[in-house]
Amino acid sequence: MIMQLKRIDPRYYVLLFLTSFVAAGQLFLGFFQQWDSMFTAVTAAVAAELVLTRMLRGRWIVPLSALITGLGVSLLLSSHLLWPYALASVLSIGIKHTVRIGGKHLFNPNNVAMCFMLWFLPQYAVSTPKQWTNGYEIMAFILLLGAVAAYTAGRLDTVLAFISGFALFAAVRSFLFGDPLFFAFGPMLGASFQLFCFFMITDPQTTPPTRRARVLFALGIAAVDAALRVMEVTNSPFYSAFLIALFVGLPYRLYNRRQTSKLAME
Amino acid sequence: MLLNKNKRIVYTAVALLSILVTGCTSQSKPVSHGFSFEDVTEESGITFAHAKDTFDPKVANIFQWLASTGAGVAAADYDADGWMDLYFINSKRGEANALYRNKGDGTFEEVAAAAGVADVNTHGMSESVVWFDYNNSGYPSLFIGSWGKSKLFRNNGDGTFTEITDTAGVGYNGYVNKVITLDYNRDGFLDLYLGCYFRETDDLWNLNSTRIMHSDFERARNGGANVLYRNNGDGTFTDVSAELGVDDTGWTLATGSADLNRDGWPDLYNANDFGPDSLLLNQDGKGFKKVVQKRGIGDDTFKGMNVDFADLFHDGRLAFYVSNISKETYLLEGNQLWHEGKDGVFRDHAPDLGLKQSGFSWGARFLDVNNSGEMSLMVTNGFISASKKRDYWYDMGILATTPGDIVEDTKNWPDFEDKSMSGHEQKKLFLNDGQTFTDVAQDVGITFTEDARGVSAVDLWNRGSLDLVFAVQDGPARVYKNHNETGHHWIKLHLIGTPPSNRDAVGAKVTFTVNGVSTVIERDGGNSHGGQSDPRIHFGLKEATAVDSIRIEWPSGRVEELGDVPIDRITTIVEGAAAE
Repeated sequence: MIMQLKRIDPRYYVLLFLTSFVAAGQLFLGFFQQWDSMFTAVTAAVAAELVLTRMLRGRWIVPLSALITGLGVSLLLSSHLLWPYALASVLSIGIKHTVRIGGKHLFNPNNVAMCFMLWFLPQYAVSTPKQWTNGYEIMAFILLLGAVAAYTAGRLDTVLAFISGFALFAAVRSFLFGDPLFFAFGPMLGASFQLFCFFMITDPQTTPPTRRARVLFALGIAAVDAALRVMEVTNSPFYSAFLIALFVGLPYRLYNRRQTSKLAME
Repeated sequence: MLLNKNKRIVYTAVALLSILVTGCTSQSKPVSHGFSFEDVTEESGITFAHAKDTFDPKVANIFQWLASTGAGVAAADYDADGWMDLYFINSKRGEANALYRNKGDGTFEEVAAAAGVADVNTHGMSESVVWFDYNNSGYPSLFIGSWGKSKLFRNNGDGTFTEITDTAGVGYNGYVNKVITLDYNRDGFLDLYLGCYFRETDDLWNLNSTRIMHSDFERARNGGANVLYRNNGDGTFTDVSAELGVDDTGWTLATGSADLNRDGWPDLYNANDFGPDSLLLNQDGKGFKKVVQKRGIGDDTFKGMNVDFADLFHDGRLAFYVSNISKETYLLEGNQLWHEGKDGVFRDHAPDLGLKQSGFSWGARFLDVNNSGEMSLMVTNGFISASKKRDYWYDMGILATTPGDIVEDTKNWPDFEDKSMSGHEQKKLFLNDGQTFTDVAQDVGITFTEDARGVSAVDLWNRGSLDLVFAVQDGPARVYKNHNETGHHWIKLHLIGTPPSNRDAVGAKVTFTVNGVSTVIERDGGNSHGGQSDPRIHFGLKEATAVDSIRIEWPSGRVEELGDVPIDRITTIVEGAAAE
């Protein structure tokens, strides 16, 4: 059964995961983002993917990844206007196609677009400021679905490492800086956190190939996140993932690329 | 790494985004709008300063939050001398409220102690106030909604008041944040509706538990139950909240009343914090029916803090503005402007009309600020102004993504210390040009940035221009005189109801038709958080020198058409009699 699960393209599970979020949000949880936001984000992402793939690689593709990106934007971003959803989607896809090393994109497309939107356009867009629900049943369902999606993508280790790291640093923050304990741990049950865990740091292309490296990568994000929280920087998970990608991921991949080239030359 | 062949795309994208960001942050220069406001607080002699209380030390970490409401101002001619007087409330136990009698010469004298309405905060602290002529005496009495015991003061008609709370049976003990009056059963006697915030079972000054807060940031229903006091007509009141279905347990910060479905019966709208607002339609005075439209009215997840009504679209269907929160980086929910379409669906027009964002918005009031015949909107804002460097929004952002049962306990809230939260905000005066709204507050001289809670639009000097009085939280009140140089004409009606209408004529609908355009203005019973405005109906005619017609639908159901009403003066209309 587990092997069968693994044989299916993991993107389908991510798609199922995100679609469940969207459906629950629209039908039961009264999300601020409405259908038009979702359609705008998805349409912009798919259109950008089709056009850029055609322009840069000269071929047409089935835009499954763009669908995931668009759904992700519609869930992570919160704005009463529609253009921020389109802009974030186009940015995601654009950066994915243009900032690459060894044929793979460097930054998680959604994450870097979110960082841009939150940093430069905070008067037009914020990250989803809510907990999904107070119902623990729905929470359990989301966690289960997220775990399956992460497992099939081979990134459950990353998720668990990040959650463990966050919990450890939450305890440290509470102990050293006087944050109320439940306040320090509270975000773990929030929407942004869970989307971040199961969707943002599980991208196979932007996470290291080995388990050890992935665990260090996740713990690094949790550590930077904790530091940013101490400095009261909001949206810290997005920024910490970006910073780790820039200052750790980039040198690591450049080093790997050089090593690979060296071996090929020899 | 960036590939060379992609550089052009990236540079283009960066350039476009730079233009976008620059364009979004550009600012316009002040322009003239034909009117301006002058701060005349000092010259007027109004020296009232609002003070805030402290609570049980167990919740000291959020004192700033708990003491963030209560500033209020209410206008009425309590001594029937033809000039509007002002009553200010204080939210600190032991501190006095203030009654400023309008001397008619541009100045006021403080007479609360002599009148017997100063020493009010003995069993709690004032949070809301409404003038209403509960006994149809011709002299408005005073009801003060409190955190603690609310109080009713009967106007004796000789400049003094007598407290009759207990004999009238209106000594509600709880956490009232807004009180309005309406004649829900149209029996000719004004009733009271109290919007309540914290649970009445908690004692904020002597807590057994620190689990006193909302259980959700978006769907909380664990607030205090609202109260409807029916006026029995004999000087007593009866709590009919439960039997009429208006005991809303949302965290009500403002409640308002108007005839939204045009059936002649006053309806209710509760603007609730941390969850859905409640639209309650009056069922012929026998009960109220809640209206919930999926993803629309009554199904919001916002932080309602005000409601006020106006016929913005000149179709007789009152649009209503609900204050909410906008804070860049954290929360961009924004205000709503609901209007019922012909299909019965209420739609939010705030984004189309430019009313979406106005900071951490509180009391707001529609007014014809330039006598144009279009209702503009004054919005107060600002939550907690303290340090300009330290901000609680970061902490609030974390709490907002934290499960409700953690949020409910104040122990889990970080200490506010000296942090601000949406403090030092610039107020918004949205000028209505008939098509859209534009904020002109800075242009016209409303430049203060203290945390305001309420605003009263009132013609203090009977000049045909609406002045503005602001209730400031934990600070001195502000009085702004309107200098209207547009030359626009106006009509002001002082309505007096006769039985079976209530004498204040609360609920009366006046339809002005000018050059074929009709506008309905309803005499309200104190709508708008933190404020009660001029009870007289004020309408601007722009350049017109006459109205086509004026139609009055009195609360009794009687309809009168007025013909030759003089312009640029105040006219008293007694129900059933010719214009004086």
